[in-house]
Amino acid sequence: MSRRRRSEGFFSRIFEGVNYLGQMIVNGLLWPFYVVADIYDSLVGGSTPGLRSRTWRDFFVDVLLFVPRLIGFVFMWLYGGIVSWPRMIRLRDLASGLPALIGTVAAVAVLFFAQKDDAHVVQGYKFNSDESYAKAQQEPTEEARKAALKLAQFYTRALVKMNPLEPEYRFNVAYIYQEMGEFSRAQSIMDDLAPRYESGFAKAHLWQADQLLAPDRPIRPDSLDAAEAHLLRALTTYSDKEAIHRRLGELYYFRYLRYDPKSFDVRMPARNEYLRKSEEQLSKVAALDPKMALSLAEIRALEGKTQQAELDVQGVVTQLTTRLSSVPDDLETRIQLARAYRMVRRYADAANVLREGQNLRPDIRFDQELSGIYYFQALDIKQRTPAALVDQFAALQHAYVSYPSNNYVTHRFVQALTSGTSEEADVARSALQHLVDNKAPGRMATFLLGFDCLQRKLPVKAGEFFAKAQSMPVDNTPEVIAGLTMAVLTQQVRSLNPPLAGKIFEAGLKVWPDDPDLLSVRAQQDLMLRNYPKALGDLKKALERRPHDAKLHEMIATTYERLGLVDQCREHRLKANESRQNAAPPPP
Amino acid sequence: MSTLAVPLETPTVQSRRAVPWVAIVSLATLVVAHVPMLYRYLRGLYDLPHYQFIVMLPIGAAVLAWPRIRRLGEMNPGKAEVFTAWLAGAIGLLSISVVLDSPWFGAVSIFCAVAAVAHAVGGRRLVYALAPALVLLLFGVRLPMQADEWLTQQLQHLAAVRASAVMNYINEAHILDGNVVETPVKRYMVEEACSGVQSLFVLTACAVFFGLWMRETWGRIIMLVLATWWWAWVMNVVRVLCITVFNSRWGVPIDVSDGWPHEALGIVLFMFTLGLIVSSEHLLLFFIPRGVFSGQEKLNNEAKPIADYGPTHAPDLGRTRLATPLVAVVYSGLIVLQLLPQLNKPEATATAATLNTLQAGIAPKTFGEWTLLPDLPDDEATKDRDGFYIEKRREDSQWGAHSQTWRYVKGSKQFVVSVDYFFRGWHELTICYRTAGWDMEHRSVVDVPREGAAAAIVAPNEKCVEAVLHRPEEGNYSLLLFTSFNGQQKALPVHEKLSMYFRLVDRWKGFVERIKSLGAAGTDQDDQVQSFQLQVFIQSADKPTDSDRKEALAMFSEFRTRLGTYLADQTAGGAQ
Repeated sequence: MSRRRRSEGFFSRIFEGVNYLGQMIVNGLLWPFYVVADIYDSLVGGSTPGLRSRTWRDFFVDVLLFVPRLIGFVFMWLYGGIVSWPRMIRLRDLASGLPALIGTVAAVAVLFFAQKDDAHVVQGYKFNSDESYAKAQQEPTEEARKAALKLAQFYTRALVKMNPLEPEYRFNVAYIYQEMGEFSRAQSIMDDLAPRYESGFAKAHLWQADQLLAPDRPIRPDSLDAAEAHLLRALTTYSDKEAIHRRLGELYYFRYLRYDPKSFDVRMPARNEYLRKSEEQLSKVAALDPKMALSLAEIRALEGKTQQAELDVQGVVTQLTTRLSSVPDDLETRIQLARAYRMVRRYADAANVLREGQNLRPDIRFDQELSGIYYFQALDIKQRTPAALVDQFAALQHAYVSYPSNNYVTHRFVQALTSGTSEEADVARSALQHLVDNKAPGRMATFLLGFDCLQRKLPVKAGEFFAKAQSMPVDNTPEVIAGLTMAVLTQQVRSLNPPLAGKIFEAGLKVWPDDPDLLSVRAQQDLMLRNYPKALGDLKKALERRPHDAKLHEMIATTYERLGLVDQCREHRLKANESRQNAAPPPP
Repeated sequence: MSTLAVPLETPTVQSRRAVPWVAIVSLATLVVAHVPMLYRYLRGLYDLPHYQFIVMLPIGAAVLAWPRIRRLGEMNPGKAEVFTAWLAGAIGLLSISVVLDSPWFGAVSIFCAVAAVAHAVGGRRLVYALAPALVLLLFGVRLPMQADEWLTQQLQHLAAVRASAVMNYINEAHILDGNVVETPVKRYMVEEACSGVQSLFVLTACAVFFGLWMRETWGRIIMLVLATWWWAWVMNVVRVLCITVFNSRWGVPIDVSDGWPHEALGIVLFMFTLGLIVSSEHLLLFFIPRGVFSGQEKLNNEAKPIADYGPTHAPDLGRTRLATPLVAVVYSGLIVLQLLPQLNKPEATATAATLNTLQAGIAPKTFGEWTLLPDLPDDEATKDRDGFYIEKRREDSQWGAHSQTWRYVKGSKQFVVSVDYFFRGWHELTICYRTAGWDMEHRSVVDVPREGAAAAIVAPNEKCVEAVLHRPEEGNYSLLLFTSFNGQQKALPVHEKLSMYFRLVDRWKGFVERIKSLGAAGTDQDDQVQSFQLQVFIQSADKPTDSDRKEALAMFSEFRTRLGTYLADQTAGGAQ
């Protein structure tokens, strides 16, 4: 059943009104055409029915009124529907539709209006991240520490996801990856944040520089260049400028110390320029720690600013002495103070400071440092009074006794025995003999005397010394010999020639034929010479003594690979990975 | 005025109606021509979990059609022009289907064929009566060019983003990584967990059925469908929230990996959505009563009744346009065209039976400096350290229901080779990785090297996709190489660019090959064919270099060769 709508009369009147209005507008618009048509008619004497016909007018009216008519129609349609709606609705439909209505209202409210400001979320994540990271630093076990770091990493990654353009968050993610031992991932993120040839995020540049200059990494000129570039980029935007100046100062000083005149490059600064730059950078640091203050003093001394250098050292000595009086067993302070004394040639004071420390709290670093003090004293004597050989070697004897595995001391003795004057060799020989006679600790002195006899064509006597060295308690002597050999072969040490290093190495192997360090050096040489079976023999022998050495497994895998034995290669690669994973973490 | 008596011819009364042989033969050829493509299409479609509801569609269509066709009165055959137009559409679409080897076109052509037959038999009246049933059956036609997958992924993303906003509101710490939600407790595979979005298609079909069953107007049905999409999306957000919040806060195991609780949640939410669709229909009836805008105010808000022309009487088939020999001739030609490429079709080597036998042994133990990890017992916990891992996932997993994975290491780098199956048609793996949180930096199509033993297995011009993916926040790069193969181990055409134009060009090339070789090449390379995938995925902290790419391609070629040889041997062994 249908009913006629009451609204129809009202709307038809509106339509008529709109039509009338439209026709008036159209007539107004067409008026100029009518005038033109009249003029044309009067001139030509005809008529232009097209322009004035009703068809044309209607057409224009239709075009002009299309949109208003459409709107009117829609309005009428809606109006009619709204007017009729109350009469047509059924409440039972509303009741059945209530779940959908309530569901829609709830869903819209929750999904579109229950929004939280991103800043609040970010704040929460930041807090959680910092808290987890701090917790990780205090966790007693490695497992708990890793769990806390993982949580910190989760929150930091969440921050990155929310703010992908914020470098600070990405830097933090990388930093946590590094803490978790995933260094390559950390490096990858840092490379994005601080590219080598572009300006990036200052903290990441600083991190890059620190990694390049890390003490456990081999230092190469290009890595020093890269570190310098990163530091200079960080300097422009990093807030703690002193930290950058300190690092740059250290870097330039290092470059000065390691300057190699043989690899002269016109693009690189002269050696003294590094010294000047280093002083310039370090002098910008207001609060230098004693170690850097000593370095600055050393730099000034090298520049000839002796008085200023001495003043600097005195200042450091005063500072460190004060500290030591309040904390007598502070190892670092003691070592710094000893170095300060060493710089002003107060060797006896330096040695006393270290001996006191050793008595208070024994530590091998005191022995190493004491050995270093005596070694510097010996060098000082050599520079100032080259003729005072006895004094020089007496100091070296002290250095040896303090720490028999001191590489520098070994090197100096070898140099004196093999490359020095006969007088120097004699003094060195008698110094070593004196050490052996007085039962000084360590096997190195006995070994060096044996080697000296070998050089002097006294094989019987050499054999006696070697036999004695073999029977002495185990120490690091073979490792020092292996290290010295590799340093000469890789040209890190140029004051000894490679054939001589080879002879020392062979002598070492004769005395300790099963030593893994010496065997792996020989295997390395054989690998370079493509003598794979021989290398494999040495490596297997070395592995018997060190079955969990990742490096040895890796070398064996490489050897097998070269021999085409894939199964064995695979086995040792896996063992190498396993050893790496199970390796004890490095000391803090 | 005289009248002339005209002798009238006495009508002859036939004692038996003549059998309409021509019409029967035409109808038979029509059915025989359409059935193979329809079968191929349905077989492929049924493998897609979100289209498994198609088995219910014929029942729904019958429910809709029966009341409409039982009282159509005396039916009259339709006009010849209209019948010809419908039939031309059917033949044209079936021809395209045959030429492009596309079952999809074959499925669409069925609708034209049904309309042509209906029009020939009962004219416009029968076609109109069948229209609601045909409309419902249309929901069994997959969206073209795998648009359903695209739509699913878009909805997944929208749902994940909205769920993320709600989780932020309730202080649920999480990371939205692509379409994956990660909490400090677990990483929830939303792309799989949210197969709720996939119920969008079945829910739409249900809504349309319900609307047609209620005899609603098309406008109201469209509104109901829109309401259904809204509910499907809302329920998907609810599903994501339930899975993540319940599990991370209270440890309720309803993640995708937790089996039946996850399924139960899906069923409950599905039933709930159906209820909401019915409720939405009533809400529509309340706010927009029937006829409110048409000027027809109806008592009791009733729907328009079905027309009643009296009991249906079908006309003599011999009088219809089907009784045209031309129909049988044209369809016979199409039958022959479909048979020809089957003559030389090679046997399938990559079947579930052969792929399931893939073992650790087929992979080399070392590859250059890469070393295969030892084969451990398959366990989720040791998955990342296992040299060979067999994984079974949900049937609707975007990564494939089955995977066999080999894992190599070189320092901190990892190299994974995996064979994943089954998919339907080309599987664009980069989309999966992107939904898992990777950014794609580069995608290109490269030739698979054919050096040495590979020359016998890798087809000339065989290509694979090479993509560089990056996760900047994790400092991770990966190099991905992959391609999809059909059962005969023929690589499916790789799309140079993901555009419709290139896809059609690929199809055309396949057609030419297929005709030339009578099916030996180029068959079964469409979007519905069962396929498996070979992928090489190398992860490292450094951006892949050219040498990395060369190495990865060499690995891909090596595995492609080994896989091809192994599967062929297995098939030959099985045949013996």
